[in-house]
Amino acid sequence: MVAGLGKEANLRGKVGLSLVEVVRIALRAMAANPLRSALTALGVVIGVAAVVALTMVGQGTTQRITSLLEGLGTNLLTVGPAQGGRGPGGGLVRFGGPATLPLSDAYAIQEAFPGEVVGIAPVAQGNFQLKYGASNLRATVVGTWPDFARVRNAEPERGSFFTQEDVDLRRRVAVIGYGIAQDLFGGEDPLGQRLRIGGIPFTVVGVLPDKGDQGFASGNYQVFVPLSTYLQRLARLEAGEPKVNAIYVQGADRNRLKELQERLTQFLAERRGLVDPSTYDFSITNQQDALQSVNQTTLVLTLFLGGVAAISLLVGGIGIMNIMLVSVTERTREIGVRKALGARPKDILAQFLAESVVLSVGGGVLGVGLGLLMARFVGQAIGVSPVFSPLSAGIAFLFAVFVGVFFGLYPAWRAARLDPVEALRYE
Amino acid sequence: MLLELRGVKKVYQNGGGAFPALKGVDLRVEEGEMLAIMGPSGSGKSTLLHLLGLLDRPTEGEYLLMGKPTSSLSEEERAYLRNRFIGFVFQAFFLLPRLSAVENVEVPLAYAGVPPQERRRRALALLERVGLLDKAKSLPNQLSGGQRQRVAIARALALNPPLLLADEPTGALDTRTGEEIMALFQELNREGTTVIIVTHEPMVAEKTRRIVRVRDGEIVADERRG
Repeated sequence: MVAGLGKEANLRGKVGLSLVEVVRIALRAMAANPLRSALTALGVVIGVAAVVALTMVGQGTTQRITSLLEGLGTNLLTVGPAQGGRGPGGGLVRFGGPATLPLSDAYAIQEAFPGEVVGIAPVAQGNFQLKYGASNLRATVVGTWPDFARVRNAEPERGSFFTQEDVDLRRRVAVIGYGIAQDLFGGEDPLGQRLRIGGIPFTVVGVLPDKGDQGFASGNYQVFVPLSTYLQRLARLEAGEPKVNAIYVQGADRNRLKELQERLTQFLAERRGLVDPSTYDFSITNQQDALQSVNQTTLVLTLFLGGVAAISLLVGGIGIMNIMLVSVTERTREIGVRKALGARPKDILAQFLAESVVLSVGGGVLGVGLGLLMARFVGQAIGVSPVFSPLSAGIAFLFAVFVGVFFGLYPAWRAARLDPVEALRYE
Repeated sequence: MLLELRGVKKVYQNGGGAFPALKGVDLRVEEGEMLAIMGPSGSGKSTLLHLLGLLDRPTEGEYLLMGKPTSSLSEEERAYLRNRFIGFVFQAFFLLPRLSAVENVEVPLAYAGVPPQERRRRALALLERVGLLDKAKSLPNQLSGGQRQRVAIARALALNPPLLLADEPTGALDTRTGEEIMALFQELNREGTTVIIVTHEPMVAEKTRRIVRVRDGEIVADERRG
């Protein structure tokens, strides 16, 4: 009957509880106090949900802005007024204020960079009343060159963009945005119809596809006419050199866009006889710069909000520790009994650690689910389709597990080293 | 020799002073004995039981269990011995309140690494043995005091330990139920289990063949009968 003691006894065999059982005991202990368990896990739920939702919406926003910018033309450089050139932030053309760039710049660039520049489109713009039949509305009218269609990704869905001949002959033809086709023409086919722009009749030759946006960032409410026609008929240019608001330049090679930007800057400065960059009356922005700054902004925002979410996870973890300490105190007697029945310190440690980990894992799972819902909801509200990132969800989840282990360790350690005699005496 | 205490002292430090609970105790218990440790409250009898049960460590002296000294054992080894070689029965039963009767009996088996199905089989057999098979699924608060103590005894017997330690096992029971519990201990003892009962009730002590009287931390009498 008596095999031996301690070290001689078979301590090597399978002794103690399996992981499944430890988790089962933990689940049972939590089921005994469902409200408390739920409230304890809530901190982790909110933290994980916030991380998941934020990264999903953040990535969705970045993707949307990126595709928006890329949809506005590839390898694009924009020559605009000094500092006024806010880059191709939105819409097809977005330069307010007076036209300051001489149109001759466009011709000069065309001549000086034949191989490197594959498209060039100066633009002049203004707001005009549009009228068709009984309906009318105000819209931005842009005078430009035929290259605009390619340079800024504005190929008409129906009909075609105006041609060089249209520019040369100053024809009164117009390509209209999708929104204008909808609002001004209703169900009618605008192609070939006569549209009055600022009282002057134009023939609609093309309708642009839906750019998918409403409001200011939209090309849907713009009208494009030959630059020559615009300057003569709409801007009513009098004497002097024609001025434009911006010149869009499409480079041949994406990898050499930066270089082209520098050389263009140099070229235009020399044309003006300017040496000091602070006196330049123009600026050239690179589409990639804009993309980078957008990405940087969203990254900073994501990191900041991620930090807030991490703090809420931390607070959730402290909540778990707090409740686990209470739980250890409440169950001092149980710990004593279990020790008397043969629980080793590590059995007790595992039991309480399992509880905090189950709490945080449960909170993590619920948090990922809630985060998905929140991302969908917020995405719908702000018009962004959220992008689920398994990586960030995984990181948030693992962080939750880590919080459970880290903040559960101390209470579990306290439980494990309770003196059995003291624990049994505890009332 | 199942167990032997040699000059065991236990001093509790509380506040500024030291309180000597045991002042040098020598005790030998053979396998198969049934004895009562008697004494007024504060005499040190509970401390003695805790030491015998490896729940506590002596301040001085040596405790030999099955001929081997226990002072150098780690917590882990002591837990192992409590699990396999010692069964505890407490005055207030100390059943785990959220576990059913059969699950309470399974606890020591679980710590011993017995697989779940085998565990259930053995726990049910033990409950049958103490006459509570029909209460296997009941929670402790659905059982009477006597029934709870029977579950606690079944739990103490789970791994068939050679030594059973009982701390005032009838203290919370009425006389008749207490006698039933004592009869159960006597039966277990006849089957070979060594039983040590701490009590202050002469009625309980009378059922044993040996009474060790403790007062002020010392053994003052060791009476054998039969």
